[in-house]
Amino acid sequence: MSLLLEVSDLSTHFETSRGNIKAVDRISFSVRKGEIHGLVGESGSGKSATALSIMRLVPSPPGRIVSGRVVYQGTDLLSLPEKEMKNYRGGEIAMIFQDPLSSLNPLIRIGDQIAEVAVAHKNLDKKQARMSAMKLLELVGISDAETRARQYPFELSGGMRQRVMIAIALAGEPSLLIADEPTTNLDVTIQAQIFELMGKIRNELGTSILLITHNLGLIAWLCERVEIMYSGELVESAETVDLFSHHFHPYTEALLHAVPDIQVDSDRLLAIQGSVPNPLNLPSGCRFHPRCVYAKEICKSEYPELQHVDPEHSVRCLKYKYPNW
Amino acid sequence: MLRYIAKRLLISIPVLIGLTAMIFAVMHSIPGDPVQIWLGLSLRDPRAIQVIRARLGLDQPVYVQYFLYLTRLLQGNFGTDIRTGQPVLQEVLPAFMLTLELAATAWLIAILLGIPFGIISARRQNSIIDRSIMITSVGLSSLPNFWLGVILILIFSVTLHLTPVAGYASSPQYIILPALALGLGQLGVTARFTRSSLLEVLRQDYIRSAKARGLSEFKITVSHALKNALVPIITLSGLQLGYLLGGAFFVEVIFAWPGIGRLAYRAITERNYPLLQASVFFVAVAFVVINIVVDVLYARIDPRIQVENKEEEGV
Amino acid sequence: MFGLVWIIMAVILAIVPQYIAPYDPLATNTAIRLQAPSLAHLFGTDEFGRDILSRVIFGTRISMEVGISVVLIDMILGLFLGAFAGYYSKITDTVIMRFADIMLAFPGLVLAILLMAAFGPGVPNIILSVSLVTWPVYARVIRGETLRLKRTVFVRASRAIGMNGRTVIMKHIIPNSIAPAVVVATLGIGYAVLAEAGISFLGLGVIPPTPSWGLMITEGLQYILFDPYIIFFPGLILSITVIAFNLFGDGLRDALDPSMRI
Repeated sequence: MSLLLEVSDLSTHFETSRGNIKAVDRISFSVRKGEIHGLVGESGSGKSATALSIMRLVPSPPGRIVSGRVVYQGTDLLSLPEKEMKNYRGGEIAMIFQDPLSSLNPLIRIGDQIAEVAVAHKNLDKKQARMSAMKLLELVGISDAETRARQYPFELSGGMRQRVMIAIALAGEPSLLIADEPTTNLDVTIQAQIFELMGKIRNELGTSILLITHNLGLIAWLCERVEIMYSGELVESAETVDLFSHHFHPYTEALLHAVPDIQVDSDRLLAIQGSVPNPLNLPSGCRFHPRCVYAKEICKSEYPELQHVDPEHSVRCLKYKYPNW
Repeated sequence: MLRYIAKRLLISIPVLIGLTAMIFAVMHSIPGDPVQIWLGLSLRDPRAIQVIRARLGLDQPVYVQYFLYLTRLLQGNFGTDIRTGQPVLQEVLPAFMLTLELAATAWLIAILLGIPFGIISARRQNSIIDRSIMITSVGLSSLPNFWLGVILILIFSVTLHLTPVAGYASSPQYIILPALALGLGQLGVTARFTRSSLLEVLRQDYIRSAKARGLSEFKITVSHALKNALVPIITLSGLQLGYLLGGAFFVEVIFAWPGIGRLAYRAITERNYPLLQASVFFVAVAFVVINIVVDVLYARIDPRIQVENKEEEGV
Repeated sequence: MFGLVWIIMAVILAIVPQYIAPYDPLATNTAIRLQAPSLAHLFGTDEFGRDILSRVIFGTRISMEVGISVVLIDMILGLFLGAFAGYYSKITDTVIMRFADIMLAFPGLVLAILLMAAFGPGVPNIILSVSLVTWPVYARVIRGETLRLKRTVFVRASRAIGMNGRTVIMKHIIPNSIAPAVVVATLGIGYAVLAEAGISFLGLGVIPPTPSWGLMITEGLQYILFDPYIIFFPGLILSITVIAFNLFGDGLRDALDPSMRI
């Protein structure tokens, strides 16, 4: 399979009054054509910042992409002038956000919001764009498209709004869809519907999806490969199947154990002890060591680099660097 | 929509009645026996005064007077000018139109210049242009309009001889200075408010979404941002028109503009109740009508309002 | 920042004008009437030979008195009425707010002028009428805050343990809703100062020969052609003072809550 998106050594920093925050710190990964690729992490891990960096939507004071390359189908997006980047945004690469209510313009009918993307990227005229909008609404599973298209966002339910967001994203016929926590704000049953929709999009349209979430179940269901982020860096990268059966990084292990097992009777939820490190005051050595059950002295001083334990599987942990841990 | 309008109109009626009562009460608290003032101090014959008072109904208790006033008002009779004996309406209506002309011109100056400046300021936030526009706006909105009028007269009429000093005629030179004196202050307010409203909108998530869709800068500003920002701006502008109707008072005095403000001023000094009452009433009605129009417009532009209203009623 | 400095100066001038003004503001001296600004009289003299600079300085006191008193009265009225309206039943709310609406349904300045005509001239009356006209704004703001605070956890908790309404209002609601009211208040001082000037300008305000900036402007109108300084200086100082309060109010707002920035 060929590479659609290749992110190399991407770093995005935020300059605040209290110091410099490395929200994204030398991240590298790639997304293949027709693949659903997961990006997992807690709040503050940098996953949303990564997505925004790919789209070059990082708010520019105070954020800044300081280094790296984002190569999309052979072109480095970071080197493009803004005018050309606009063509990619919403066209080749589309993004949907977490809260569909606040992400849709409350005063514009949803049909128009879909249509304007088609006009902007596909050069359709108004009439064609309208038709296209209808078709998209049906594609994402909204019945009665005629009536719905003339409604405003507040008239729709949460699940429908997210579908509309997806329709808007698809209007430009993107090859890559970046979905930043698309279901976090939705009911569980609705969540399932949206997941199915995403699978359908990939299967029928061949669109690759970069799925950002903290929901491991979602990863297991949909993603072929997954990256785990912690505190701005990648700590593990693997094929999903492999990750669930042979996870290596202590953080990954903790994440998986934190998900309650429906078959086991227990009173307590296992949380990962400690909390996410203060980005202004990162731990020395390995960033995860204060919370790691396997941590040893050396973890405080030596910084672990990303290394392969398998051709498709890499980890950032000293446990795998030194035998006999 | 129609229901909404009807509802608003219905609510305004008690408000108007309350207003007339309030005005009436204030009016009759103004010290000084009106009859004596009108007749001058020379005529002191108490019987003559009694007769005149009875004829004008001033010997009745206040609430009776009010009641009579209200009934006549509902029949469209605004009373007669004490001094001239003419129906008050004849004087008040043309004066009102003149004030409206002045206020409307000032209003146009305020929004046609204020809104674009506000937009420019917002788009170039924190730049030198932004700061200059904002400082000027603060300055303008703080100036007392009568003083501004005087300064304008000093510069343009006295020194440069470009415009007449005062008075009214239909040519534009006569209206430009008073309109500027009235409108520049509100221009400052509008510019500042537009800027803040637009900035508030630009921070919203849906603007980020619009950018993520690769839409042009222009399209985002106009179709997405402005639409949302204009909603509070329209409310403000509507209220400004009402405010200008009131503020015209001072400007009319300085520029000898024969509007309702000047009329009312004269009426106060003459204790000319019917005239004063009618003048104030007109201004009040205009104000209320403007508020209703603003509310309706607001509801048209923001479809959510109608839903909220229905919810309010349901709860 | 500038706002703050100017305000402090103005307050000082208001409290002890006698020490700063070079001349007695009421002292007339027809021999030197209508003199253009000079070293002896920095702002010139008016038609009665009074030193304009001194009158302007004393005028500060009037303006500050009016401005601050009005705002204080408004805040108190607004705090209580607004909190009551927001906290208690629909009826209290409707009654108070309808009343506020009626007052707001009318261009304020005009009403103030009418009230002054009714009450008669004098500074206390000015304070009274302007306060009466502007309190609804504060009541609205406080009511809004009260409604918001009513739903917060700590208010609910207080009610759950049986605290009666008045205590809740005094202890929780009022202290927490003051902030936006303070911002409105600083801008309100500017408005009150302008209102006083306007009212005095119309001759309905302060009693001559008390020096009020507005009154000075009116008195100076007849001399506009040849002695414009009579009008110019009072108006200038008036404008700068209002600007100062506005700037200060803006700065205050930014400091207290950057999301409300204008």
